[in-house]
Order: sequence, then structure tokens, then C-alpha cells
Amino acid sequence: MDCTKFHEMISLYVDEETSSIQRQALEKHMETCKECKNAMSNQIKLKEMIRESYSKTVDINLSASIMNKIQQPKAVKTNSRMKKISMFVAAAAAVCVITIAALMSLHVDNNTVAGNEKLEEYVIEHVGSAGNEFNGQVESVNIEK
Amino acid sequence: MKKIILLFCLLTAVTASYASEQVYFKIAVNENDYSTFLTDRISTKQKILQYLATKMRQPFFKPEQLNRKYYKVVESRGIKYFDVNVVQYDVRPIHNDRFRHLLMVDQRNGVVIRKEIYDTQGKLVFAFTSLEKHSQEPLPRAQKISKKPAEEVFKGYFLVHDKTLKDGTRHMSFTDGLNKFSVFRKKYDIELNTMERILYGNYVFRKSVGKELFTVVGTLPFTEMERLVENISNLEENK
Repeated sequence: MDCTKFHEMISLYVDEETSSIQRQALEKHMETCKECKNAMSNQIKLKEMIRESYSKTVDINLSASIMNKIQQPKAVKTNSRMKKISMFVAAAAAVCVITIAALMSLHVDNNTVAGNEKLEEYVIEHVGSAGNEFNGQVESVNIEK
Repeated sequence: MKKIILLFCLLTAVTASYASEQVYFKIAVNENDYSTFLTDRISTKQKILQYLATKMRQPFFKPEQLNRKYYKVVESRGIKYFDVNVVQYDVRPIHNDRFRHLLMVDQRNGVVIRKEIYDTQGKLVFAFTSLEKHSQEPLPRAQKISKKPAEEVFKGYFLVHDKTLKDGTRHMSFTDGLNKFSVFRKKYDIELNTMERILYGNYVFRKSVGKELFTVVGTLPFTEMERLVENISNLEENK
């Protein structure tokens, strides 16, 4: 008798994963097949042993353990306080830098108004005025040789 | 606004007058940089530069006009420049109190074909080269102006221009026949730092004295400019 297909069904049967047709066929086969009946019995015993081994394990309440770790009030508060302080310091430093830069630019502007812009105007004024009149004036002067 | 319109008109006039001539300029725009351009190829952005350069260009040169108390002139003849017989004049200040000029002058008509101006440190501040062939006819003699002859007021310099600008700044221009400078004097309450700059081929010196701001522009070394500012009252008396 070929029991190969029934051997596959036995583990499904133990896990209650067979269809009704497969269950009926297997039960009918085990009435006449001692080997398959023993295999079934061994599978059931194995499942029981595994179940028992888990039942003796210490009951770990994982969710409670996780929640306890999350709710560490002192550590969390310190971190956020430090973060706030460092942000405040950074903001204060930025304000100082901007203020200094603004003050420096004002100081530079003061010079620039009478500085580079005016200088360019003066050069244009100088060049424009010193050109044409030069020839005529010098023509009329006695120059020592 | 009026100044801009006036400048535009002057630019147009100068541009038109040089429209047919190619002149190559090299000008120290500041302490470190030069601008070089041909007058007929200059971009719109550099129009002010073109105006300054063309105004600074010296069309003619007569060595007899120089005051030999302040200048030593070395002539070199027999030189050809662009197929033109030229005389090279190396005009050096005797007391190192003004800029050196190196000129190449057309032998036939006294037209300056090439000119270079060097400061007292030997730095080139301005140069131009006229690339067009000039007429062989001699130039008409310049008319004498029926004015009272100018009097020397300061180390060979003569006052050629004295006016008050719209903002109340007093502007006086001086020349010795070759080097020129202007003094701008303005009431200014804020004391500014003394400044020495090179701008568009000219030295620019600025100093606060009392409640006045003096700006000197021209082809003089800074030491001379500072001496000028310090003795400005004497200059006014002699004007």
C-alpha cells in the first residue's frame, strides 16, 4: 500500500488544516493501515510536547516592558531641555552676527556716500574741467626754460 | 538727472568727434586692474570709461611749454612708429613730485600718437595709442586767449578752473602744462578716515581737516596731495 500521500496529510490533519474530504480519506485509511496510525499518534504526541514546553516559559509581558522603557521621564526631559537651550544659544548668536553685520554696513555706508560714489563723480568732474581750458591758459604764460 | 543728461550729451559729442578714429586706451581703473579698449569697440557699459579716457587723451604736445624747473625732458629722434616719423619725449619730474610722461609725437605736426603716464613708483596709470594716420598738414596755431596771464600758484601749477558745485563743494583745478590735479573742498561734519585710491588713471586722496572734507584728484603722488591739503590756506591766498 502506498502511504506517501497519506503521510503528507497526517501533519495537516494534526494542525487541523485538512479539508473534510481529505480527513475522511485519512481516517478511513488509518482503520486499515497500522503504520499511518502510528505516525499520526507520534505527530500528536510531538505537538503536545511542544505545547507543554511553551506553557512552562516565564510569562513576559512585552508590551508592559516596552512601555516602561518609553516612559523614562527624567532622561527624555533632559534631552529636550538641552535641545531648547542649544537652539536658544544658536538663535542669540545669529542675532548678534546679524546686528554686527548691520552696524558694520552702516559704518561702511557712511564712508561710501562720501566714498567711492563721490570719488567717481570727482574724477569725472576733474577730467572734464582740466581738459579744454588747459591749452589756452598755458599758451599765454611765460615759462622759464 | 541734469548731470546724467549733460554727461550723455558730452559722451555723444566726444564719441562723434572720435567716431572716425581708432584709439587704443589702457587705463588703471583701480589699484589692481586695468581696462583696455578701442574707442570704436567699447561696450555701452564702459561709456563713462570711454569718456574719461578720451578727455584725458592729450592731442598735442609742445615741449617748450614745459616748466624746466620741474621737468627734465629727454628727446629721442629717428624713431618710426606705424610708419610715422616720431619724436619720443621722456618727461621726468626732477623732484619726483609729479608723474612721468612718455610721449611719441608726430614730427610733422606735433600730434601725440602715443602717450604713457607713470606714477612715482613706476606703475602705468594711463596710456593711449592713436591707430589712425593723421594729416600731413601742420596744425593751426592755437589762438591766445585774451585773458590776464595765469600766475603760478604752487610749484609750477596754475589755476585753470574754480567753481562751486551744486552741493556746495568748491572745485579748483590746476595744471603745470602736463600734470593736472583738482581739489574738492566740502563742509562735512563727520570725520572720515584718510583714503588713498587709484581710480580711472588718477590718484585720489581724501582727508578730513577740521569740519571740511578735502578730496584731491590728479596725477600727483599721495605725499604731494597730502602736503597740498595741509597748506590749502596758502594756496587760496596766492590764487
